[in-house]
Amino acid sequence: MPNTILKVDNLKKHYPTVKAVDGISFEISKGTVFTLLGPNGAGKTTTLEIIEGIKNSDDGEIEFFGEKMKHVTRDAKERMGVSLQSTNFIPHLKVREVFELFASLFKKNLPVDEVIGFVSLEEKKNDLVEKLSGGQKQRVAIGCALINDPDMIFLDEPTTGLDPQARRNIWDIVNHLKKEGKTIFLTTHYMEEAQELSDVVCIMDHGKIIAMGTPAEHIKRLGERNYIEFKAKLIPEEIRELNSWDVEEVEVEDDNVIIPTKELHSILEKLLSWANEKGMSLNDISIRQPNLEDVFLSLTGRRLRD
Amino acid sequence: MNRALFKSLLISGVREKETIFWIFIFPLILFTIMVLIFSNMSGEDLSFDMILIDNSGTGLGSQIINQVVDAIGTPSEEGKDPLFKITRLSDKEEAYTLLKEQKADIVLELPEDFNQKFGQVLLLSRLGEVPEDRKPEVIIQKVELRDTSSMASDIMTQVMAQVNLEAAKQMNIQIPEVEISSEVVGQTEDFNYADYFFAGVLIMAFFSTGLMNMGINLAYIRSKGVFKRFACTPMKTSQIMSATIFSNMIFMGIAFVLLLIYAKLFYGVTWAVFQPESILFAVMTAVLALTFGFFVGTVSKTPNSASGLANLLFFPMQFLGGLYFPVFDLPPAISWFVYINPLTYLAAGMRKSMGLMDAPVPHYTLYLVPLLWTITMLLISLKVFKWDGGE
Repeated sequence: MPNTILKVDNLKKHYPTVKAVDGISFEISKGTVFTLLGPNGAGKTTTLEIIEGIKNSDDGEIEFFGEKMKHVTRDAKERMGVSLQSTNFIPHLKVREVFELFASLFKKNLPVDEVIGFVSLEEKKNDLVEKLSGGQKQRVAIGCALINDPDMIFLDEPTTGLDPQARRNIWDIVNHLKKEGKTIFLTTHYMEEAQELSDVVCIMDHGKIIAMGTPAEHIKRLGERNYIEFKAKLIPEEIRELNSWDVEEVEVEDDNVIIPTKELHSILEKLLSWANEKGMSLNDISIRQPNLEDVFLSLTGRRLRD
Repeated sequence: MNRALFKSLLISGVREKETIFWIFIFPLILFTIMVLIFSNMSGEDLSFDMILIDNSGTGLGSQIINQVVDAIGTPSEEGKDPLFKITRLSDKEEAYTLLKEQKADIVLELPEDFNQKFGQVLLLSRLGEVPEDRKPEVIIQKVELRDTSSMASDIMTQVMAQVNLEAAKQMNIQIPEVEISSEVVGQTEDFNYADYFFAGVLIMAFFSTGLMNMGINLAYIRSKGVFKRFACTPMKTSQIMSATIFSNMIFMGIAFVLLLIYAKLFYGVTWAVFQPESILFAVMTAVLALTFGFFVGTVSKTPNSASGLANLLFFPMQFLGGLYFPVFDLPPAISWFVYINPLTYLAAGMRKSMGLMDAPVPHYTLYLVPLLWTITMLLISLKVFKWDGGE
């Protein structure tokens, strides 16, 4: 692949009870957002920590900026920025002091005020980091990852635990970096995030890569189908009845019902008259396009949040 | 060493209220308490309150006793308290009440028949053996469980023995004079409690910084992933460790200077701690404290477990390490701990080098035992240390 910035070949990390990373290989091109999507425990963070140089792999090879290495070198670390899953710094430091500290760790660094401005923390720069909100702390973490003007940025679940507004702020930062042509390696278990931000989505489960491609390619694999969703209390007999129609397997969780189908109009009409006959009310009925959550479900039989 | 990290760790420590208290303030408080308690028991300013009830009237016996009491109730030097502050009362009940209320340490009572019996004894003693029931009696009342009361009583018993000798002289009975001389063993003539506790509290302050502060902080920043974050940067492990060690050494230096200024200004400690060997022991203490801290921070997964382990190590080490009182004579059940405890040797070594007291162990062990502990703790910590882990 031309412009390959990172190449991972047959990477393995096995623990006594689990194969955290089980022989994965992938390449990341310059200027793309590459997302590792998978449920908790899929092996995303372990993969990332091997590439970041925190953990050593049991086997496999990493090629960073055209240079093959068993373990990540200091020179490679000069060119990468990292935001870890949990964001903590030396206690009792102010925002500006944290940025100054991280700037001192690299040969090349951007002006601290420029980075503080980029992550919109000008008003908080003299506040102690521990006094900041979760979203603001995450912006400090991302700012620290950008302080050395890296060629490649690793963001490990940057929005986990954040409220929707804070999550949207982080997405804006990532999109901005993407426009600047930065290469970003993202991990997440939020399918909307992967779909919104990624050029390439690598779906991972049980330490293995189970699918890789653009979000559109993943969804295309499901074929042209739509999802009818509603809330209703169905008995097993009624679920069997729905499954006898021209639909994919009906998914029922508590009173949430999802009917995947390629025949939207006919199935929708049939559903409404069927409910009418039974005197059943279908609450919160909606129709939606397939998403990466559905892709993951079709690949593993489980939902990402399971 | 990374100077920015060093500066950050210093700033972080200074902004931590607990660090300020335990490293800088607490040693001053502890030093004050220790010196005040033990200096008062050293004899230099020792003073007891005694009530004298003299119902004996006039006579040779009471005259001798009163002369003795006046002597011990007079200060040896101007401006100092006498050994006994004497209060003369005639009411026994009032005297006993004051004793019970701890307003007096002992009550010395001369009964009504004291002079009469004293006179009889003077005559009878020339004729031969004096029957027991004819001997004059002085009654000393004390409170058994009060240390000062027991000490005052013991001293007065000795004084009364001296009175007996004086009485014998009055009766022209030849008693060979016994010359009593005293010699200080183990402890030097220049001994003073301020210097003694300065050494102990200094070791405590260094261990508060190294073992407690550095140990718990290392566990905290490791469990929170701060080290892991540094591992993603080009910074070397040695740079992180050196910044951590040097920032804590600065805290030790500040603690030392504060304690020295305070102890010099208010308690007149000598400059003995600046003897080359004393400085060497101080440096050894600092290094050992840091290796213990490194060990605690390495083997503990959380700050809470680090705090528990640090306390578990530090409390017995400081109390059974001779920092505040001599420990070489403790019962065998705990003396084994005293002899394996590196602080025992550091405290003894520092005091010996300050000219305060001899150490009852071979001189080379004062260096060897702390050195073995330093090497052992360092090797274990380096073996176990991980960047990540914890919460």
